[in-house]
Amino acid sequence: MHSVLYFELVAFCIVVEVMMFVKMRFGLYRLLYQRTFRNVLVLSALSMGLDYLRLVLDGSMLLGGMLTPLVVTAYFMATAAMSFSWFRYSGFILKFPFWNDRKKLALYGIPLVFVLLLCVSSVWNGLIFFVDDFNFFHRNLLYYIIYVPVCVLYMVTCVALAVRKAMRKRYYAERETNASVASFGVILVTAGILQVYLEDMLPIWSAGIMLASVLAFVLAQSQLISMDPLTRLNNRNLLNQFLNSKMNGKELPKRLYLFVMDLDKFKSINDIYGHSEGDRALVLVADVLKAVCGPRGCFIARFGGDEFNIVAELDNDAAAEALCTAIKDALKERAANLAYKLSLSIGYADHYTGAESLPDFFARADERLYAQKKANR
Amino acid sequence: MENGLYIETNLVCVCILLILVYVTWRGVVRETEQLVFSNICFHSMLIFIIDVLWRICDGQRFPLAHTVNELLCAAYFIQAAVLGYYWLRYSYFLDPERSMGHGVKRFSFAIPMILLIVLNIASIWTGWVFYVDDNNMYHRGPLIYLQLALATSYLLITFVGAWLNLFSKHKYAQKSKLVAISVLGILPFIGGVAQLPLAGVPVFCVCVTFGLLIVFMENQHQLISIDPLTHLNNRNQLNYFLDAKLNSRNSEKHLVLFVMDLDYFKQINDKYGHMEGDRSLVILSNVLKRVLGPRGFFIARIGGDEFVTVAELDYMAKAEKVMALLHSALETESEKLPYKISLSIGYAECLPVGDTIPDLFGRADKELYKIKAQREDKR
Repeated sequence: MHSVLYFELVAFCIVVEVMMFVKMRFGLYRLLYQRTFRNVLVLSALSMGLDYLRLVLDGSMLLGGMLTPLVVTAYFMATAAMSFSWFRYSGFILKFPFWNDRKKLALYGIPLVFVLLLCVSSVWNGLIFFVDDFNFFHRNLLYYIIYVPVCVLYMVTCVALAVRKAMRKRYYAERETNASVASFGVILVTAGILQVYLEDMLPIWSAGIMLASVLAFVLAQSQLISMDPLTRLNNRNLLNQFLNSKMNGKELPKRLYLFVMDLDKFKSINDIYGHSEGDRALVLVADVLKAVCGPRGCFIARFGGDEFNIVAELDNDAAAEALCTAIKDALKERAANLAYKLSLSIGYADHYTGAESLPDFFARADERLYAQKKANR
Repeated sequence: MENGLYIETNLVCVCILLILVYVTWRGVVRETEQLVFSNICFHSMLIFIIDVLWRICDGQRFPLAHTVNELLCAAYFIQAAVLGYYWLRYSYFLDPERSMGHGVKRFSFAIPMILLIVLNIASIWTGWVFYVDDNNMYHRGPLIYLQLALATSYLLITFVGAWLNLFSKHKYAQKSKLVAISVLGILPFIGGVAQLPLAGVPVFCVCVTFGLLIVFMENQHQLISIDPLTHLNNRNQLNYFLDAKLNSRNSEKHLVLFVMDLDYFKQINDKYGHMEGDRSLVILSNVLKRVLGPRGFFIARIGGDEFVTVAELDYMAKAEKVMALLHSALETESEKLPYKISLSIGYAECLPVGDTIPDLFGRADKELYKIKAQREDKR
């Protein structure tokens, strides 16, 4: 009975993992995700499966007892490789450039390679684990002083990177990913420690990996919902949510400003140079907005088409005007060597009363925008 | 240790559901659907937790053990019935074209649940569905099969309803959602039935959790692939669809890509404001859905005022016919509005071999500009 239950739980974990893999392989995510998360899923499923096999084969004399050390080695290697691939995936979703940098990855991978070699050599020298005369497997000294620390190190680095990123709150849309990276690191380390502490009586490790990857997958999905795929800015859904939370909240120390902006003559860029050039222009504007408004802690969103929005907490209208000028200047500089002229019209409104509704707030900012557009012509 | 495993499995399921509820609540779109979904998750978690407590108490000796065990038993079976009922309601909710009805009809759905609640409470004294012996061990009563049949009938109805619906529809964006609904019914059904011969193995909780996970992922997927304003497919989904179509061509039909552009959208926006501009987009997309939807065209909004349609046609002349239909439908629609809604459409046929998405788009775009230029000349 015990083995049935054990098998069921592990099988459940593996099936969930495989399901996510299939979703990524054949779904929409193919276009948006890198291979990194799929590697994580495959290695996790492998680690769980081998973990199960290892326990089933413990003490068995199958194939003259040859199978046990093989499976144990494979299990240790898969698990170590998995923690490295988690680390790489964390780099990817936290947008640290190392995840795709071969040289840096090779450097960060040195401990992994070292551990993998140790695992293989353990079959003969028993440094990390050894198999006794009755074919039962035991962990050895180096398991505790090298293998575990290396795996934990990768996980802890993930958490540290996520925390560091979270400190610099730039984009509202990314707050959940940072939290997810931190929490899956914590889940995995806890699960690993519990598993060793309980001496393999319960499959906590498999359950931990599964929960961590479900969390990562589900949060990554919800991130896609709140992100504009072209410019990677916040989208309209998130803008509304953010504004609602700001407007219904308590008194703010500063005044809440809403900026509405519009690309001038975007239509003609599209018509003359084609849609792909139009998309390029939008990405360029988004980059400028990120560079100018990001460090000032503003909330940036693409409302749709060529409309962008910024929400900022500023002291007074002079500060708002200064922000507009800064954006326009930066755009002028970046767009200097383009074939066409790229400029923005910006309108803004401040939220001086708490009783105003969201559409009214927008309408006031819109009015200013049209006044400016008229003046430009 | 068996108990430990049993409890761990249940707790893992609770954790997964907690993650789903957390993400649902933190999510961007907090509509009724999300509320109903977290409601189901909540009811499922409740039954898992009752199960864990029951497992811990069964066969143990402590003050009032007998009563506690009986109560937990009854609570478990009642919760199973309640869960089934909510499950059915959720499946109706997910599919806007079906309705549970009102008054008597709606009430009749709840009758099996109410019957089971009464039966289970009575069982504490009569031992119909279950009884607890002097050693504080639970045993199945004579009516356990009635409990099982009634509770699982909800799930079976969910499954059959969604499945029947699946065959009567051919909308691309809806299809995977309907599959998910049917999975929602069949998985817990299998789990509930399998639980009977496999007493002591936590099958039910695993199946329920798996079903909910699939539905959740499908919901998220819908949000990612659908344009929130017009409820058409978005750019992501278009790329994915075209990719799939180009890789598996039906050689007897012509694969045609239409690129469409709302005329004078900028002017509508500038003159009447962005709210009115949005409304014109919604009106346009409704016309597209009405005219092209029944013909099995794939419709997407790829940003701003650009729409794209992909169709497999028997012969190319059909393309012009469909365009004429579209133009006349828009004209009738425009009569109710202060401004005119009209479309410029360019289309291109996919080459039999070696065509790519950018090439196809490029040709259709060129066609579109030609038409736009002609229109400008006429003015």
